Amino acid sequence: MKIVRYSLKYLKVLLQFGTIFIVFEIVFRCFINSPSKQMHDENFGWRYHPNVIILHTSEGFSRIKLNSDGFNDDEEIDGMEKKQKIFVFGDSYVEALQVSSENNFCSILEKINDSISFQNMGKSDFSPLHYIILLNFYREKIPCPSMFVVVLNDFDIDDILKQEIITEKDSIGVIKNIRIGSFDESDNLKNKMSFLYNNSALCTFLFRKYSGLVLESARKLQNFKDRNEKCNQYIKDYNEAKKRIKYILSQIQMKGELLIVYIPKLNYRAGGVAEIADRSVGNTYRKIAEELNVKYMNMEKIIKEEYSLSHKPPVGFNNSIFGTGHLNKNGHILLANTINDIINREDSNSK
Amino acid sequence: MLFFSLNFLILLTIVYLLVYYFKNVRMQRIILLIASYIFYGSWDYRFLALIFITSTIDFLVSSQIEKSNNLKKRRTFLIISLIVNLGTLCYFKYTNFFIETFKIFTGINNSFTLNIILPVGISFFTFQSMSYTIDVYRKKMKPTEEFFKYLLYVAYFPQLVAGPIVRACDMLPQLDEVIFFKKEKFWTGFQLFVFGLIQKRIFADNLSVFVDNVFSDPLKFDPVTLWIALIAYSIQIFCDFSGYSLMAIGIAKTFGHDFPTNFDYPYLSHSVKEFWRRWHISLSTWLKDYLYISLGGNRKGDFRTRVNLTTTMLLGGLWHGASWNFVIWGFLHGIALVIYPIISKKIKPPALIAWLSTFLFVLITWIPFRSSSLQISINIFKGLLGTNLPAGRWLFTPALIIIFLFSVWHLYIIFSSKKPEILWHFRAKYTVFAMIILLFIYVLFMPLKYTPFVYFQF
Repeated sequence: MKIVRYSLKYLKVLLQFGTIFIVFEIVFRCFINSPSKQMHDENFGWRYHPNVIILHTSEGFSRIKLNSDGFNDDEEIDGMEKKQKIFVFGDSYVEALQVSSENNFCSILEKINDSISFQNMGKSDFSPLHYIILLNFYREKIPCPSMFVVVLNDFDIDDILKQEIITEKDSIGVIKNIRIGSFDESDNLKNKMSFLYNNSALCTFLFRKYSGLVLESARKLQNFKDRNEKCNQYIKDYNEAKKRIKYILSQIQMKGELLIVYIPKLNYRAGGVAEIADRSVGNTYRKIAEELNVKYMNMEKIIKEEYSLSHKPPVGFNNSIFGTGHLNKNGHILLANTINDIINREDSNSK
Repeated sequence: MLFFSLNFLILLTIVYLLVYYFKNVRMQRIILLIASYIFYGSWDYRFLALIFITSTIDFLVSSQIEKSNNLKKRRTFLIISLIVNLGTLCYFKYTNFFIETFKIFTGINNSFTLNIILPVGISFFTFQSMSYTIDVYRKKMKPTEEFFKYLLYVAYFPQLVAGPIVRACDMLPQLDEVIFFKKEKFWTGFQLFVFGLIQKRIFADNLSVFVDNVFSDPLKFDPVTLWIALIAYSIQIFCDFSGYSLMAIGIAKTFGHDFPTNFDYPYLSHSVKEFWRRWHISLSTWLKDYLYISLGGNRKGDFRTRVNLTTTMLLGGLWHGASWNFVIWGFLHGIALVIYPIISKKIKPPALIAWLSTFLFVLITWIPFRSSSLQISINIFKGLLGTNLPAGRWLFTPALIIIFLFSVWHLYIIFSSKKPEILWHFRAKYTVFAMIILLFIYVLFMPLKYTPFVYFQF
């Protein structure tokens, strides 16, 4: 009898756990985040399942339906019938899950320029290396576009120097090939947990929050003899980053006209003053553009002017830290106007 | 070692097992004392000598006070104790403040300061130790003859680094009893701990993200943002300190020890006087019993009462930190306590107006308390009035949600006779359910970045 009583008691606690889990899962799906729905692709690395709906609330609040390629763009491979087609490459800044679909800069640009289709190919965690992969992937699907816009930010320097990116060089150090290496620890963990986070919003939330902590603890346990040893550290070698990005962009340049847009990280201060965080990143991108002889736009001045007038930073949301993170609605308008000005200037020059 | 760290969890588990195993009160005391010294040593082992020496001196001095019938001799021993305690506190906490103030008043312009590390919790354990010798001197209690018991009273780990300040007359008799883990007390203690944890890690730490950003550069933000940040800070500091106190009370309760309540919904006060009866109760009663009454209290006429009140609050402000900002904060509260009885004789405002004016006063006085300099205080004050240059607006959603939840919680207190942290009055099945929900909330919403307890610096 005692065993039955105890079993019932623990079963009741277990039931309570289960009920609470289900309630939280529903609340999370409605208000906080959708299940991650990502899969590992041999070519791309991690990418979204086709046609999933993403609820994004960590910065801003948006519910977005991705297209069949897993990108934040219209379903049709748009612009097939249109005159001009522009591919936009970038990471999460281009993916723009933080604002509603109609407010991201690609949509704004399409509204302004009815005759041009802007193909959004941004994805968070994409490094510049992914642009070559995307280019090859879409070569068969869509005829080559008339222009490529590459949106770079400060994180691209770090992304291209990551350990999982492998470069093959010749005897004098010239890059011959560049490719994504094997899974790193984070990918392995993500892969093992894929069933949970593909199906549960709560697990996705927990994974995003605690995976870093779990990995760090695991590393510490592995290297307990030398606790100060930090794995996956690399030297921020601007020269090496420049070589790699230049190689990638030169490959894209071979396929069509190229425009590089750099969104710098600025510190937003009182009195409408914005200061650049790291000037060497912009210098690196400028040098690449000069050496490749392609159009380059550093948005530092434009952002500074806008902030001094409006006191509203182009990045950050009400649920994230002021003046940090991804582009907000104002930022996307600013970026769209900047790109539009360059394209139109080019058009009027050619006329 | 923090209450919610893995190290503390391991230490606590070992202590529970040992205390459970040894049913002898002396042995249990030694176990708790060793655990307390390990806990304190984990912050900085060098200061273990400090806490040991000051405790030993107070123990010896108190027994000498008790032995002596000569008033002069008794007073001499008391002064020795006060010099040791206040001297230690002044040296570690106020030396650089005095040097800086001296330089300002004499116009000396050099960068000379002493490299002194502030021992964590020094303000708490010196006050606790002092109360013991003063009580013995006032013949309110007999000193203990057991040295280890006294050492444990001063260093008892739940309240060692940030209070509540527990009186010897309340604590020492409890240390005479053998600890038996009782289900009801253990469960109550656990619930109090979880409530404290939620207050600190969910409310206070999530708000600190917003508050720290706004207060680090207040000119960047418009008046609406600054007002919200000020309200957020008032909630942050309450939840931070009240959360720590609840955790401390909860841990002590699991061992069967009762600590006094430290916070009683201070933001529901209708006057500044009432606020101080509800905020950091163990400190305010300490200041009243050992400073205000020692200065003469209200026995020497109206003028002296007002001077005593202002002096007590001014020193209370200085107790919080070695900075003129804290002095101003204490002084403002002192002035309010002096003015309140004068005004209340003439005007009897409706309850809502009384609450609103008190809350607004407390809110405004948090500005110097939070600011790192007088200039920042002035900038925030100007910003609140909208006299700064145009600036950005940042309505941080998590902060707004927490302010809303905090308001709902306090409204519940106004309209209900039951306090939510006393869940054990409900039926057991609901408390288990509530605890599971709270632990879920904790895991999901606690920020990974830990913000140090505000009162650790005091």
